[in-house]
Amino acid sequence: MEGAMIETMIEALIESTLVTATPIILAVLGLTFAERSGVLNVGMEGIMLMSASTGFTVAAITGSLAMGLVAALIMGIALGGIIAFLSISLCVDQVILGIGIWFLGLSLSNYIWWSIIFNTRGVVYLTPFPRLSIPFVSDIPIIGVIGEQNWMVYAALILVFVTYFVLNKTVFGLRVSAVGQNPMGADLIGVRVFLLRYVCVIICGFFAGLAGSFFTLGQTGSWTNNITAGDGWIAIAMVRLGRWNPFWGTVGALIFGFFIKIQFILQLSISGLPYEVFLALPYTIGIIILVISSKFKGAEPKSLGIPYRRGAEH
Amino acid sequence: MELRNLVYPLLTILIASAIGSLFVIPIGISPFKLYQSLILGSLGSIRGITDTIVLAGILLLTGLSALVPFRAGVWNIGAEGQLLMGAFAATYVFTALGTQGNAALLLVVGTLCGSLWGGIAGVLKAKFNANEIVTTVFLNYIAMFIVSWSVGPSGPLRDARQAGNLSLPMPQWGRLTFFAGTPLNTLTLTSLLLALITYFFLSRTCWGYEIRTLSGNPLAARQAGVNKGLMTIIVMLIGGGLAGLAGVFMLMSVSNVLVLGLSSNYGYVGIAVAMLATQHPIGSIFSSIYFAILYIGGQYTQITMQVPIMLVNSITAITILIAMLRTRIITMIDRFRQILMMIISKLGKINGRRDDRDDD
Repeated sequence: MEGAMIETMIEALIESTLVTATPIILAVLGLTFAERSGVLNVGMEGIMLMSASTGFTVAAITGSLAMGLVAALIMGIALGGIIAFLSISLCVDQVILGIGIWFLGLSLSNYIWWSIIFNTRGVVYLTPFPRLSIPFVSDIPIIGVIGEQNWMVYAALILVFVTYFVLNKTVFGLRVSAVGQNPMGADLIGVRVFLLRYVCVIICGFFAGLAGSFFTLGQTGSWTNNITAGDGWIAIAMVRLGRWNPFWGTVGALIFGFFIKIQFILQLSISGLPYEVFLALPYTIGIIILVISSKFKGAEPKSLGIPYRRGAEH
Repeated sequence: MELRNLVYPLLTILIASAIGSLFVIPIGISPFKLYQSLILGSLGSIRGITDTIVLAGILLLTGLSALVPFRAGVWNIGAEGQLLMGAFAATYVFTALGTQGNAALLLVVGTLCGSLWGGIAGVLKAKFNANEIVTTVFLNYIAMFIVSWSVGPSGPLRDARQAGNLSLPMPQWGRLTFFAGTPLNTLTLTSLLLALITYFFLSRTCWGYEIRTLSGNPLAARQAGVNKGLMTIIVMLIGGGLAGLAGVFMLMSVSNVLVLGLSSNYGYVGIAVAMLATQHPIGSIFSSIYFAILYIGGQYTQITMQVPIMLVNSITAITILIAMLRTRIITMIDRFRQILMMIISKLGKINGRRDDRDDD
């Protein structure tokens, strides 16, 4: 009896770690693309919120999760395109652009849900994507829960390998790194700096759309204000911690998810502490991550955050 | 002051309002009615005007709190958390003091606590190069949970007689009163004075000069021996202190109790205040009044037309984005003007040649 309880507890811990980490992993992958090419996307959280809201709204109207997902991805790609245009072609300050996009996402995402769904239909619940059992994997005791998630969790894990392969093993990926390290040098040998940066930022938007839609379509099936709760910001810290390597970023996201979820177990056993301490834990860990990752300054793409102007010094 | 310094903020407001008006069309409200209601709520009554002036004081403080670090190239997104921490500290003190106390003490304590909260991000940036944008956002969340705990069921500041999560009300000695016959109070005067002090600090003092070189010409700043780490900490202390002060003033003049929703994103609106004013302290006075009109009008519209305040927040965000494009728009217009001049002068030359030929 005791053993079975611990087993279910560990299973629940593994599952919730995966579910918590999935959107962060997706966001980390997107940010890795953008930052490797030298574009800072501080507005990640904003795009995720907009996509989460758009996906939910469209899914609630059409009654189809797939339509919601498509809408969320389109929203992510569109916002990625706007950020790309403003930061690459118009060379605006990427930090203030990101802050603007984030604040827009924070408020407009809620407004979209309110004006289209809540205003006319009240609170709506959706059934999120169903679990897909992977044969054999799901039969393994305890860690078998890894094989019983919905497709978005699997997609995130597969995309980690895809991202790593694309960025490190293909000509495209090496060119992206060249553009991020030395855009002028890359331009001189004929690499299309602007095109590559556009592609990378739009890929980042796509991942943000996927990450955002996971919250509403893959996890909760409902909308709450600020549903991402800072995960986009956590992802920014995680990319640094992972030294712009998607594998390490993913490992970081998984460890982070584990810490967040083990707090619920701690919360049950340490009853003296107020529960806000545990709620504040992710952000405290986030700050510690940033302090640790400042050691990795050398791994940062050299032109990160600096727009490239042809024929100018910078 | 050039005319364009005035024209672009107005243009920004116009464009942002135009985009914002698109948002109400889907819910069947005409944009014209929305703006009518925004103006009516904020400027249509004595009560509205008073509220607008009070809120403008708060927004001016959070605007300056974003502005001073911006001028040093440091991004303070943490005014929201610093404001809450200032209000939290002041509530702690007035709850402890009870019926006897001094309002100035609350202001000092709140400012120091906000300053400390900003200083954390400053030190982390200076010592560990931890990205201050992300740390201030995280510190905002942590401040939110501290306030949520302090007025929560087991918190030390909770008013046990109330059902909701809120603190004891601010005693009479701590509340601000209006100067007889005017909608002005100490908050209005303090914030205006601080805007002037900030202006002189940035433009006329040695530290102010060093701060400006840090964002304007980092290389020159380094060669001139400006201590970047120290300056980062100083601007974050100043920024945090201003936001903390705003928090105490919120308690004294607007809400009188500490609640989680004490600041309806006013810390973030400060960023927009600074951006719209092109990061100029005196300009911030005017942009804070504009945003105060928007938010007081927004609160009125929320009640009368059931349009949520998120709409006003969206307009604020769009204002940040449009204001950011200012330099691009200026260069575009300048380039357009140059091209126009070139065409005119060429046409003139062609005409001139023709004239010559005619002379032959």
